[in-house]
Amino acid sequence: MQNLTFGKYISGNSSIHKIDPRIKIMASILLFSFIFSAKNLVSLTFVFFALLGTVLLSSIKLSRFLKSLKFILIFTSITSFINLIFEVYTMNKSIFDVKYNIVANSFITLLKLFSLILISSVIMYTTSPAGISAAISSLLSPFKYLGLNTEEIAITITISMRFLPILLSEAKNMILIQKSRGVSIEEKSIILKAKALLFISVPVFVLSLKKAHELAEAMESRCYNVNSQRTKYKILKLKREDLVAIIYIFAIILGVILCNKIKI
Amino acid sequence: MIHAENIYFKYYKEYVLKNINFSVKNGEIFGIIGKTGSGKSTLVNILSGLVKPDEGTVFIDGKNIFNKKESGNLLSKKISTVFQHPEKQLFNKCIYDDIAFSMKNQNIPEDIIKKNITEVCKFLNISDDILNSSPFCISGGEKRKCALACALVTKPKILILDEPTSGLDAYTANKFLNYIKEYHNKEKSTIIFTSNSVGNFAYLCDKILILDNGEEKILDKPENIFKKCKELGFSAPNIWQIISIINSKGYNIPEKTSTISEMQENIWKLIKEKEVENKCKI
Repeated sequence: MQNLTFGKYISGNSSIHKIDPRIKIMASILLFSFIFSAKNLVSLTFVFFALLGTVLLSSIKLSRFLKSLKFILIFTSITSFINLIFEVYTMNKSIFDVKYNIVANSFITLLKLFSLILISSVIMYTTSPAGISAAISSLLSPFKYLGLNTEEIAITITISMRFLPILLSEAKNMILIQKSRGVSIEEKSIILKAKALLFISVPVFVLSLKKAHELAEAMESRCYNVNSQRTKYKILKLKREDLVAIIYIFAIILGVILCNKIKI
Repeated sequence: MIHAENIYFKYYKEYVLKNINFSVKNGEIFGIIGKTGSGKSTLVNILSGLVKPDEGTVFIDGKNIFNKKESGNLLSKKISTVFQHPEKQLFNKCIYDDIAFSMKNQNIPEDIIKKNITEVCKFLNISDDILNSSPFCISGGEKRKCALACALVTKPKILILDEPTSGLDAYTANKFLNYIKEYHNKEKSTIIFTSNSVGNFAYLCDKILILDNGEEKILDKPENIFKKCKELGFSAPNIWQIISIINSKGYNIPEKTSTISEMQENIWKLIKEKEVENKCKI
């Protein structure tokens, strides 16, 4: 749990920090879809290195990203292994007949997941919750004409993201508290492990409800009303850095399209 | 005896505890005082055996608590910890179940559980009504008392309290303090507590460790710490300040005076002595 870094904004002044959050969100959606459409190892390796460049530009320590990847590495390795086994099984061949493309397919899945995590980590680390909220609200604004309350959706998403790291740290504390009361988290039996998890999840759930209630009261005390016309302290405007970012994203997409055409 | 040896602990690459060394004899009350972020809670987690330090270790009665044989359930029988805002930990359907929780985890027979709970509830004045009520339906002060009961019910050899009175009003905090004092007199167990100020707790201590930015700044008796309070950046307890003002005028009130009633007695003594002196002069 210590390696979970999702939702933690790290303030900074890098060129990635300065990019308009709307561009970051749109770019991530575009990149997600192009990563999924990537067909071969060359295109994915290209995307992966392009993303590594973004990570270096963000001036956030690489070790932070590696920590979030470490947690996922175990998960992705298992899924890749299952993928490998299934492919061998469906092709009706023995495990010793594993051809290059089956192993490559598993590696492609691994790289796809890594790239997705890198994109989300870059966005989470370099965009403040307020920036994300403003971006979501701005991007959803056309849906106002369809009768959707976009402000409400934006604030809901922002609050959930804001509370994720808090709940994680509460869960960490609760593990220590219950350990001191004799609950053994490192039990080998699955039933005992599930029981121990219950002793942690129930108080954390109660705490999250309390925090939600406190937040609702704080918002009400400051006369927050979803339906009222809201003004913004920071109005999002596109700058020169944003144009550079757009060009960079399109270059990656073009690279993926071209690499997809390479036949190995 | 608790012995902390060369403790170093880091979060990411930053050390939050650096070269901490101290010993606490059995039956002593030991205070760890430091400002917010000085590493008190991390040290509490290490002393409780819940978090392993990056360097150094903790010995309890000569045994390394981070040895596999000593850790886990075995350790929870020896040590009870009351964390900051312990009311968060209450989650069972009634207070009774919550107090019995740690004993059930230690597989203690039901009759002993009942006996211990009755004793601890009598000691802390927890009524049957509260015992049967849900932890979510009682006041903050009562919750804190119940959390203390959860820790005391196992009759631990070592009781660790992490800022036990934070968030409590002065009256409830005083009451809480008295319970701990009484428990110490009764069971003679070792008590370690943390605080962010040299307040009322400091008087109870045999020794105080002042932490500054994760480093051991001073380890001394409370009286000596009070004298250096200004240098250390803390304000001395009110009673101590009054005593030092009176003593600076040439009177002699014992420095160990810790409560208002003791102070009252000492001042009465002074007045009577003065009256006798005046009569003699006449």
